[in-house]
Amino acid sequence: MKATHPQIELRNLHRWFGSTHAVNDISFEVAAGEVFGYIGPNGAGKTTSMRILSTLDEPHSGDAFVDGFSVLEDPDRVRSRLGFMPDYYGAYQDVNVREYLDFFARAYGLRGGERKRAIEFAMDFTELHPLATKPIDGLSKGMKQRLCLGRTMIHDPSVMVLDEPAAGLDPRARIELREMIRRLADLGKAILISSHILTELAEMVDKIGIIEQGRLLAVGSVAEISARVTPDSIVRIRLLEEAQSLAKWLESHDHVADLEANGAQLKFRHAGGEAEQAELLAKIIAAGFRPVEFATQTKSLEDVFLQVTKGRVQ
Amino acid sequence: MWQCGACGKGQVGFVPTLSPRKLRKPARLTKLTMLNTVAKTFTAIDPWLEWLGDRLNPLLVKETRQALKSRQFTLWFVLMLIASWLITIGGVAIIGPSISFVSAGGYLLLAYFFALAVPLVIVVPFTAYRSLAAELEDNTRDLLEVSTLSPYQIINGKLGSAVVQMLVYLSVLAPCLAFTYLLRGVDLPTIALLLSMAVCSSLALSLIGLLFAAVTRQRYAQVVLSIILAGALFLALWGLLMSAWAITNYGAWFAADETKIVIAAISSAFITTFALLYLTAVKLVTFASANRSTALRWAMVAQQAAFLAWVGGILAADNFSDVNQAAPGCGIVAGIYWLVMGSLLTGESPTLSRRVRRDLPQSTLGRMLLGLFSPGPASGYLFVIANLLTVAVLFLIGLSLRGGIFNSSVTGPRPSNVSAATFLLLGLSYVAIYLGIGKLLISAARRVAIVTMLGSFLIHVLLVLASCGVPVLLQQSISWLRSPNYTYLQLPNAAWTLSDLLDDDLTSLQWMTAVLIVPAVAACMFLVNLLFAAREADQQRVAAPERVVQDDLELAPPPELKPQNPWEEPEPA
Repeated sequence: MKATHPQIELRNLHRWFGSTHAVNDISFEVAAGEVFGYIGPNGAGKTTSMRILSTLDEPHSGDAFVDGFSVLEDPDRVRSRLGFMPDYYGAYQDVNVREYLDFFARAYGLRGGERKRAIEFAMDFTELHPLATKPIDGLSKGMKQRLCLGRTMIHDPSVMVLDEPAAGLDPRARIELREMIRRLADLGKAILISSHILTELAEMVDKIGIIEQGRLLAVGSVAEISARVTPDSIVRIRLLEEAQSLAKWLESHDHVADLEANGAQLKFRHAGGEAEQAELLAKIIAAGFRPVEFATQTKSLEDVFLQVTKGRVQ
Repeated sequence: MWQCGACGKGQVGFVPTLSPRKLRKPARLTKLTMLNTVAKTFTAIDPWLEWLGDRLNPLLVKETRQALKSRQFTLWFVLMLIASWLITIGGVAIIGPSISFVSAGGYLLLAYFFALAVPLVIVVPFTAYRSLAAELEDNTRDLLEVSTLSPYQIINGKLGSAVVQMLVYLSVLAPCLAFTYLLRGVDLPTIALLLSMAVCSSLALSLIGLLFAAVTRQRYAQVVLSIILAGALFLALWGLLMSAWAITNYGAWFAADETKIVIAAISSAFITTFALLYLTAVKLVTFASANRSTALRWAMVAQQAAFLAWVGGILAADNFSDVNQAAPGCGIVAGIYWLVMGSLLTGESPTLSRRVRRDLPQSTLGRMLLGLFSPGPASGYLFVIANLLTVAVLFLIGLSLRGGIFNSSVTGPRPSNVSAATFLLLGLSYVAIYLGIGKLLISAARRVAIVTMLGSFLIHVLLVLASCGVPVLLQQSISWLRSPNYTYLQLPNAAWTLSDLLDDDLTSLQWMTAVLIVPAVAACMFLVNLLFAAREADQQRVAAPERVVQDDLELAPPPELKPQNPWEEPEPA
């Protein structure tokens, strides 16, 4: 039966720490198979809201839902459906990799063959097989993160909450982690992930939520948010000839501003949508200009983040 | 052929294939047949062991694995072995040739008991405490809580691990204890009693260790608690050793009926207290929106019932002749117990979570009977008063059986029946007043700040200290009030009023004033708090969310309805 509810839903969440309003009326949804990037400066309220979603903290008002179950009313049901990877590494002494995964598999109620298959799958997925008997204290940072991810997915949760999973990883480990997360989303899991490494995040997320001072400033895809914060797009045209004449021709057109011609290249700000851009391109060609490139410059996640946030801390 | 547990594929194990040449040798054949039998037995047992392993507590499995690899465990194990060897060799050397006719078992038993008591009373409980406290320090507590391990599993796992360690330490000294019996001078019941005392102490202290670890998440508080626990453990060790010394030095003490009754009474007190502490530890690791109160209230009732049953049984055996003496003592015990419990229960949140409201009694009768067991400060207040009232009423019945409640003649030992009855009435009234005022103070404080259960307890402690201390201070510091005798200023002071009442030191006017005013104030306080209780009782049961109902149906689908008559049967295709 297909679920009619979102896999993750935060509904008007509020949480105070003394006079600090750490989470201020946060609401968003994440569907199955979606990776939701949760970004914001330090102290913005990301970890607090993730902890509330993971049943480790309680909101003062509002509620959060995992697979339709309230974290306040039915934390036990939420826990069986959720995998939480905190931003710290929880290790036991005198325990090796297999024993660590075995313990958490047992803790999630997996028994017999099911448990063995789950451990094998987690170790395959995270490529930890060669380290199966190694004490977890002696693992490198990257391997520990893999182990944490393995632990988080051991009971095949439908929702995964990953708090800064890429922190402190080298570039190769980050790329591998990114691929793992994408594969998990392809398996149908709803993933809420926070990270400060925006370039990495941009390549794996379907939607983002930007949070600052406990408030959710924007939610949507990078393109949607970008279009919302600055509706104008930057258009770049390369011609076969000098672009100066085209610049003069364009000056009289609507939606066009800030023209910059440089040799055969021309850059300008366009206030219209994609339909208007297509119309403009048709007019340029009809006017006898010979464009070889017509491109809209997309904004990066970093650009969007900088535009949306003000760098305030509380 | 061995069956691989992981993949299920057949593997050739250590059982060699039998060649015809080898078969010709009968001796070799017998050996191989035996090996085959052993292999078959193991193959048959293996699935059962695996089944059992799957059902073991995950924390117990993990902790045992960790413990067996830890240096601390190895160190203590080796130390115990060395200690037992030293005691055995040293003891035998000291006794010398007279070992055949001297009754030296008692001395050696004490020495072995000391060697056993240190790990059992110090090491095992402190390890239990550290194992839960370390979950917080190593950032694994969140991982445990976010798993599907139930709070019972968490506490059982930690406690189970303590029991496993205890059994290992016991196994080291078991042969030595048997040796002391062979040396004479000590009987089996004494050995059994000492061992039971050590095991029960270790178990109870381990549970207290877990309780200390679960009570707070603040690190500085954990440091303070660990110091307190260490002190308490050494104190317990000293107490246990003194008891062991006393027990081994008494002669045929075990035969006395009174001893058996005392042991049985202590055992029931131990079991009920253990149950209460166990449930408290479990509820401390239970999520906040769950019902963390009802089970504890049942445990308190069970403890009170056991207490009353023992007191009642002992009094009934003597035809209630000593009920007037027992009433004040038992009243004090019950009053202090319920004052402490009440100070915690009145600190509960007045707002019930939707999760708790789902399980509230629905019918009027259910709400009447079980309402006192529902969480909430006002219901907690009423619960305490109801329990204390039960104690008072039972003793009043006892007094009436012994010659009447209003009988003021003192034929036997004091107090008179009427003094004992007044003591019970005033004691109950004081508890109702203190808890009632405390509860109102907490309600007021909650309008401006968050009041935790510890805060609630401290408010009550301050209130009791103030109501007893301030009148004494005023009477002794103000010149025109100064008097060594009881005055009306001491009416709020339960300690002075009740002690003078028992000693018959109150004048008849003072007695009358106390009997009229204190219960009247208590009744007013009770009525005020009853209004709060009515508001709490007004909280209605709510239905489970649709998603929960749907999930329950998926987990346990209702049985398919079978046709009840031929017309309901599906037509053949």
